[in-house]
Amino acid sequence: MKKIEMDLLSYVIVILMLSVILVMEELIFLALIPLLLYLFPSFLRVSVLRYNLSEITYVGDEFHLNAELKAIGFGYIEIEHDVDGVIVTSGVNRTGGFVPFFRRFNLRYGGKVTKRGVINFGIFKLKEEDVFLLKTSYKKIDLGISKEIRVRVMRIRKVKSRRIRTRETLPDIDISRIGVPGTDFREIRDYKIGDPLKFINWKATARKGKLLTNEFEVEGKRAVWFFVNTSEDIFNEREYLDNALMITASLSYHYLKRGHKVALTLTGNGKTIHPDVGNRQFYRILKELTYAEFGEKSPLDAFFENRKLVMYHMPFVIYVTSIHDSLALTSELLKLRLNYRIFVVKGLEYENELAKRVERILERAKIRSGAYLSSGIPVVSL
Amino acid sequence: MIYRVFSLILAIAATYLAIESLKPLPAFHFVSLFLPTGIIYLLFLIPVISFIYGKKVFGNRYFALLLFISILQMISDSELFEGIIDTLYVLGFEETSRFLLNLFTFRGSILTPFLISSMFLISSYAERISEDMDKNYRFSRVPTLVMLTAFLILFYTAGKALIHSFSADLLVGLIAIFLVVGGVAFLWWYR
Repeated sequence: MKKIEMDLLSYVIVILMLSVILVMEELIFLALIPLLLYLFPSFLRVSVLRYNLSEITYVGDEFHLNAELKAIGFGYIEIEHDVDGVIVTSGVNRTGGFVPFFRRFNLRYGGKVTKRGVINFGIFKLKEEDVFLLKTSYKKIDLGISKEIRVRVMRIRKVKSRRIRTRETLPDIDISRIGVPGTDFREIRDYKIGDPLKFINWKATARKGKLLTNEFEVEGKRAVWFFVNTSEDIFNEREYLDNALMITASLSYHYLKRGHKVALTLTGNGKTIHPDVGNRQFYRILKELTYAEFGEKSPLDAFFENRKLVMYHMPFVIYVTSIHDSLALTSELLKLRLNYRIFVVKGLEYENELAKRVERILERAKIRSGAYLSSGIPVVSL
Repeated sequence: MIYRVFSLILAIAATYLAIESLKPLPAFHFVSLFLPTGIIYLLFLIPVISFIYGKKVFGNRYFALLLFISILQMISDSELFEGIIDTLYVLGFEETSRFLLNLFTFRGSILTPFLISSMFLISSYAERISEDMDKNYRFSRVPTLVMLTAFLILFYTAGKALIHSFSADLLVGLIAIFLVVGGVAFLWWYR
């Protein structure tokens, strides 16, 4: 119950008590006032006359909204353009006021998109109140203007790598283990069942007295496999996830443009996109990243699910994770003799001084173990 | 803040009206023989103190007190008062019953209680609007106060005209029907 309703109720009680105790029927007339206020008719109808929204594609894009609404009726109206995953940077995203039968409202503001996925920009929340503030109703206008907001792809910055204990270059010049054989001769080796007959080196076979076959370099560059830590954890928050996905999108774009096969595994739900090349693969990855959320699976479980496939391709693994990860996955990668690089992504900045210090210690430990620390533009070593 | 100041002004005005309605009563003159009349002006302090301490300026109890003071002028219309007078008379206290009747002979109109009630309602609205304005972004609620004032004037004018044109009993009957219909409508809204 609203406070004003409480006041009106206490008013009625005071009047009725006095009139009953003193037996004065004249006073009852005064008790009618609140009831008449309740019975006062209220009617409001709101429609959108004009709606302009600037182009938005990626997370972090700024936009401007310009809308004009028309209200017919009598009472108060509060209009709010409340979009989930948007922060207001300029102006105000709500308007309203008294409607004396007819009134137009303009809504102009600038904002920034902070969330990935499909966002409906066409929702206006309405709060209608009668002129005596006794009846309130909440309504919604849905124009159905949905936009797909994608993960931002940043330009990769290349820097000279520092000397570290387990130095491992990124796979810019590595050649794929599997693929179509090219014309570059690699070596002569023993024949294995399944090798094409056309590659048997008959002269060498005659010389050695056993079947020998020519081996050629296969075409294509080494596959790059992204493992993104989207497993639920007490320290993993939205800021971290957005940064991790942005870095993954940027790096996958970087390697796909250079002809690498790129694969993706989101550890939280175990969703995997198998290695492939080209623009279509990038859009597949981008779509998956756009709708990525935290999941229950652990990074190790997600890795074991894909181990066979990973062993088949022998890719270069890029593990994108948070600063609080124990990096248990890396020991598995080492066991399988897979080359890998860890990208440690920062999340929200801590306000507590002690927490900040602990974070710095963790950062240093991760850098010592060969991880890249990334908080903004992704960086790869030359 | 401005709404609270407005509320304070209304509370003071209502106090003034209540005191003024008390002055023509013979009972007031009788009491002034024993007590200084200025003591009644201490009532003005109540809303001021409430304002300073951030409490509701025109509280419900204060309203009940002012309303009671304002209806003392027409207490002789009260069935309860008449009953007391008659009882005293029947019990043999003729002198006392006549004396009491003479103390409250003045019969004012319902205008003063109505004005005090109206001021209480407007003041309550002003105060609640002030609270809302402090809490979050809000637009001006002046139209509510203007509409409420207009409604109260209309209510008084229409009520007075109805009383004069109809018999009072018929009007009470109409109000009873109206109350039943209004009560059902009220329940429908909060179903």
